[in-house]
Amino acid sequence: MNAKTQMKVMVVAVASTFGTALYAADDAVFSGEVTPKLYSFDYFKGSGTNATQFLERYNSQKGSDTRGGSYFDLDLNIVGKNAQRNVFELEREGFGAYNHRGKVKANSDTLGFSGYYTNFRSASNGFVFRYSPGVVDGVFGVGTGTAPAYASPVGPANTQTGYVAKFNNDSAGQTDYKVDRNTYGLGLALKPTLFGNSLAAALNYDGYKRDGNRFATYVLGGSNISNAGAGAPDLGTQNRWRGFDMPVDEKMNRYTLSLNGAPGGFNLAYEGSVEKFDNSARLFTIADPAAVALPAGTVVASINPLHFVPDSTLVSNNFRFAKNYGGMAVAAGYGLSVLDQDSFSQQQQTLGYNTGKITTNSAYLNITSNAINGVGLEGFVKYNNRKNDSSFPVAGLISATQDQTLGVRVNRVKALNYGLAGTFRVAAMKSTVTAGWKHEDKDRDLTWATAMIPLVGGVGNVVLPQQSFYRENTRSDELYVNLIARPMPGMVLRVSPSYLAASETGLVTEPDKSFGLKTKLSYAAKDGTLASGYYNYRDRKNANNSITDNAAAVLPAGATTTQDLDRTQQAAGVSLNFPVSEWINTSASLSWMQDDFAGYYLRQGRRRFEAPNNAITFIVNDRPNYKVDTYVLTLGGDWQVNDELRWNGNYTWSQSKGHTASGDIATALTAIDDTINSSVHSLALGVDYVVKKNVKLKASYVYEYNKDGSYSDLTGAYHTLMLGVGFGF
Amino acid sequence: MRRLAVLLAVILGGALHAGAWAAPMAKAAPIKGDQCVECHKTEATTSHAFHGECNSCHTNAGDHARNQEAREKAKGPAKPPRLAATKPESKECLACHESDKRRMHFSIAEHNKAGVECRDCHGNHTPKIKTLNAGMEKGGKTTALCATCHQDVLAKFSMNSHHPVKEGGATCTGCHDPHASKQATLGAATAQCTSCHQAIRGPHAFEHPPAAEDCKNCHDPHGSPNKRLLSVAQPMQCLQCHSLPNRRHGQTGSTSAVAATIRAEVVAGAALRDCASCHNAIHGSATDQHLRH
Repeated sequence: MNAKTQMKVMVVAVASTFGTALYAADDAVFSGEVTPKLYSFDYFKGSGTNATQFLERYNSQKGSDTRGGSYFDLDLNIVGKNAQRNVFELEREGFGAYNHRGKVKANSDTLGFSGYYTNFRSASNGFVFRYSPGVVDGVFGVGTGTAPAYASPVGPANTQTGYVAKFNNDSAGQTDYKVDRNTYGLGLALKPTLFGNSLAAALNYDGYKRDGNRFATYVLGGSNISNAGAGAPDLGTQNRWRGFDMPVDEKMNRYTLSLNGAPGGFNLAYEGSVEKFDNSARLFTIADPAAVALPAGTVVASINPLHFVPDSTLVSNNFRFAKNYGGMAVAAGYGLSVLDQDSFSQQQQTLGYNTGKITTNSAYLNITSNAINGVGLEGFVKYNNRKNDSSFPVAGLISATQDQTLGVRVNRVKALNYGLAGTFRVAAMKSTVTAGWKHEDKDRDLTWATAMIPLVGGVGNVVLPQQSFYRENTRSDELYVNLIARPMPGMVLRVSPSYLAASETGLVTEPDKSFGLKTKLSYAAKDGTLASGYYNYRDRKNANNSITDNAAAVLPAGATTTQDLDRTQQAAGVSLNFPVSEWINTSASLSWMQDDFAGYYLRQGRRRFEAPNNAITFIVNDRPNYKVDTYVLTLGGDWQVNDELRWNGNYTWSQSKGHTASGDIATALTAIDDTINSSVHSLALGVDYVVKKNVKLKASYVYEYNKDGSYSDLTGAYHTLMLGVGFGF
Repeated sequence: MRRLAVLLAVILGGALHAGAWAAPMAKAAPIKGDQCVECHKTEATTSHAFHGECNSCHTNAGDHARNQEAREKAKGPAKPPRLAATKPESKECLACHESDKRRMHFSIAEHNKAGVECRDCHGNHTPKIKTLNAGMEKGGKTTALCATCHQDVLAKFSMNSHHPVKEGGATCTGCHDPHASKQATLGAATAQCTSCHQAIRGPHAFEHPPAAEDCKNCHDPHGSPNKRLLSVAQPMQCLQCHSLPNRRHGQTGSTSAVAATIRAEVVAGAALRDCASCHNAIHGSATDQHLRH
């Protein structure tokens, strides 16, 4: 659908929305509030205007050209209501020049219309740029984020790798990176009353547009660049690591039709959608940015795309079914989705890669029964089949019979999950106990370039399955218990231990042993006091997957090296909501989270795809540890001084502290990369004052301070003041 | 497959017997809404459409009304104890709302299994979240409602890298359907993320298997102390699956297969600090098996 047609659809839909509202609003009473607001903000500490400040990543104000300013905004809230329902709602809220949202709804007995939009700017791409190579100082004791020692000595004698010798920024003047996401949608609901309560239908349109730019890096391969000038070959290698300003211009349009009804007591639902994603940003090839700044004599002979984002269409059809038979309920569903690639890079077109297609079939069946007094039974089966129907093989691009053109191809991933559970009501402490078992069975159909193996001693080198941790099967069983107890009125205790064991794991990120425990105790008193505490623990281990050495021109049959991962995550917290009086409410919470992860740092001499003609020996270098603690403290209060005046405030302090690695990795990294030491203070104060009937003054003040102990350039502060007048009617 | 067949037999067996065991649901004595409004004027004006019959939700409303009458007539110690009107349980709500496509599977939803009733989130007469504290204004009322129970998740949104939920750029219900069940999801395993992040869904000629299978293999969607919502910081995030070759990564590019020589090769922080600077097509590449472009 082109832009003009979309605009027409939106105009018709919006007009219909208001039409319906007017039709339904004969007896409606309208009320609302319109609040013009004036904001004044200042990033009063931290980086200058040429770099993104940490606090800007999710709170980007007027732009990069200023660190302070003022602007007007408007909040809107209008409701039309009759005896049955809200027949009309219109709301708009603004929280900054690039953070606002709105929605509109209209309802009658038979129809419902809705629309929404949001705008949110993220500057997290600027944050990525600030950490990028070439911007960061001091890595490995030298002046840039790269390591010139890789390109030493300069001249033809240089035989070093060179890939991380020098970072080249092809858009050196550009330091301001941000992306706007504008989402919008419309919905039309045809209510059951329209069809004699036998059917309901809905048509929905959802879309978004992303605009902006991001910092994109890439590394040129050995075949992408050559040079014959003075200083070769290092002249080429020193220019291999590059970055450039890459525009983002994407849009997504999704159209969804939903039907549901209950003929004969069977609940049936269908949802079909067509989702079109378009990338309108310029498509780059390696030759584009690299050609800008490469030295004379350098040849870039490649049409390989850079950061290629294809257009695509996802068509989904989902059917769901539910039926209650007395104390038993059956729920089932089937879904088919097909993701198609709509645009292809120049290289793909040239080489004949013309189909990109992923088909997913999925289904589930759940049966629950409460037929036995005090006992609930449940069984489920779930199936998911992801099939890759993309072009394969394609000579010169992706092939199992040519050197370095395939690691592994995932042809199909089939997952089957099933389980049983029983829930028992126990009189003691008004408890329910659920005990269950779940099984997961995942089968992968993978293609490795094993066709090359007969060529051992010849030219063929491949990534061999024995030299990857990726495996074809995952099989795991999990036992769990959920206890919910109500030992006294208002108190709820939840305890959920679980244990998983896997005989096979396809990825090392899947645990072969896992123990988890979730607990929570909450208490709600009649006076409104709410207190709660929780503790969560999960330990995931994997020592299931190994890789195997090979001697030169021999298939892997040597020593095996097993990865041994151990990750423990803990979280604990307490919170209290305490109404001091009918007019004053206070709240406080404290949370702690710890992530402790260790695994082997494995190394080898040659790259895996240089086997089997060359010997590959894997070694355990050491066992680095990642450990970070995070604390979050929140204090809040709300004070209704009298009918006219209300104060409220909130303070949040969060701190993350720890190391991202230990051992040799930590030695090689500098503090900004191996240490996490940051804290953020946020204070928000608000006041509302009713001047007279239908006129309310509003004000708020927000102060934020970020302190980064490992990357001091990220330390910064921001505050903003808002003054508004609400006119009610 | 044998285990699956046994499982299906157990489920179907239970299903066939269940109907016979089912007990009929008791019905409340009928009562007119007008009778309730005599006392509950405020509730009457805030009631939702089609909720005019009080006893359709407050199933003992008749007994409650008669109890009130008896209490008003009785004097002294003969006054009967107060009988409060019951609050609706989920089954009362679902009697009407289960045919709604979003709630048709609520019986197997995680919230239902955890003992969460409809009324815990939905207030028929007054909204559960009436006003927002200044600290939660951007996040909105839906997020504030979810946060009342999910404090452990709320805390993650204060980490360095997080989805901007508290900032208003995303909502809990944008990713999670509170009425749905994980056992009843359809579509791709990554669909929950790629319904917003289409740019990384491909299809890719060269896939990165963990990214193709499950985004959570590398990312913690709620929050992380690491950049880009990574569960573990680079390079350890990558090195848990990948052994690092000295060639292209070591300073001299040594290709030795001798353990001591492999260990002796220097790998600089420049190569270790951000694997995705070079392997930038980390979610999948159109052209390169090493996910570089």
